[in-house]
Amino acid sequence: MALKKYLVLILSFVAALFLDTAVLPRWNLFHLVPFVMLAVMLAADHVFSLQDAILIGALGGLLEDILCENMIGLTSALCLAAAVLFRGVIRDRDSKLFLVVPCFALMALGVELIRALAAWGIGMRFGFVNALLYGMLPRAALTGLWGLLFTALFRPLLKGQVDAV
Amino acid sequence: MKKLWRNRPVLIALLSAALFLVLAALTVGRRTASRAEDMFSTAVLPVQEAVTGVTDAVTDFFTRVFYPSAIQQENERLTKLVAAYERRLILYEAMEQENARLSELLDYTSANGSFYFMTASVTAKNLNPYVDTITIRGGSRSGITEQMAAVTAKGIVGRVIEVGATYSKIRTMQNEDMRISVMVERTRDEGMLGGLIIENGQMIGLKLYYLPKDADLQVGDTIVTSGLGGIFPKGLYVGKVAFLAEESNGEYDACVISEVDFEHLEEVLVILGGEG
Repeated sequence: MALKKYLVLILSFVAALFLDTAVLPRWNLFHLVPFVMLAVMLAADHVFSLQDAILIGALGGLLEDILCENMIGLTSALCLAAAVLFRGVIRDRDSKLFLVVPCFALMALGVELIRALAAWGIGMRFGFVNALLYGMLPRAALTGLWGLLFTALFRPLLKGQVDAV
Repeated sequence: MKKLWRNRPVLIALLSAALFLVLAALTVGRRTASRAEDMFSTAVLPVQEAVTGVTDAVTDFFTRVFYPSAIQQENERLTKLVAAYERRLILYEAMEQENARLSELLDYTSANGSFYFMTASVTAKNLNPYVDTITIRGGSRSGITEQMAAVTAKGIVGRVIEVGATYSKIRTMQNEDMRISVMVERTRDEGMLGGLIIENGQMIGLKLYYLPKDADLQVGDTIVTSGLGGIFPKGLYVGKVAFLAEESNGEYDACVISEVDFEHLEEVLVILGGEG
């Protein structure tokens, strides 16, 4: 069962990497691209353990930054912070999904906000309110839904697993 | 503190996050890819291209499946029209070659305005929607260096900001910090182009400013590069003036619209150097 868990986690990780960097930037609705790696990480955090989430967040964020970003490490830092925060808010893995999914979206919104602030910090200029309404909020909601998808994928693998935290 | 120490994963996550933040601060604005980055990007690039290819194929499939027959007929009609235009284009090309030969006779001493181009496919786009950067296949091994200009047939795309062995990153014109020296093709008035004009969350154009006060700028005027600044060669098409700013607006003189579709860029031309 543990082998199956890690296989699914690795496949989800690779899928998220290519969805984020190659597929979704081309194939999306209204230019809204969810942050799939964050969704995978939060789902792993919720269903499995914080250690799994740390690995996914740190490695996934770093690789995505190397592929596409200018500030290498920022995505990893945000993912790890989101993982810890999420674990602090939702401790019980049997929590109802109507609580968990908004929490995913909330974490994604936090990540979006800090990314926007970082971009602002290095000199990018954009309408913040519009970016919030038409970009960050829908993207965070989409990320929450992807988190739901991965949670549904991971939960059946939970039988026999013991949470390490 | 003891509680935190007992909860080691949390501590490790927070320490790692802090280290990553330091790394992010160190890598802001740097220009050269590290060896590790270079190796990883080079290894992933072919897989990324394959994924992109599959995505396009799936998109094409669904487009074909869901297209109604009327649109297919329209498509066939347009295909024939394109074929006719292609035949006409061949004639035009013959005339262009003739024109080129005559021009060469007339003014054989002056250098011609063409450049050495390299076509490069776009392999990735930036995750962060506020920092518009694209990654292309082709790097230092192909002769690309930092600050080279990237264009398409529809205008300027941006400039190279980072070069690996087999890939390069390009900062596009949609970046707030991109500035290029331009001139109005009709009047030869010089100015500066850069910075985004945003309405309702959508970018509608680029700011044109620093024009002479007596400049006779009109809507529809063509804007080309002036060659000042050394990155973009003179005479490259940039865009057209969409509207003039009100006199009270001290920030910019006019809005210029680029015809480049930044959302769907698939290939760009990198100018490797000038000819002659």
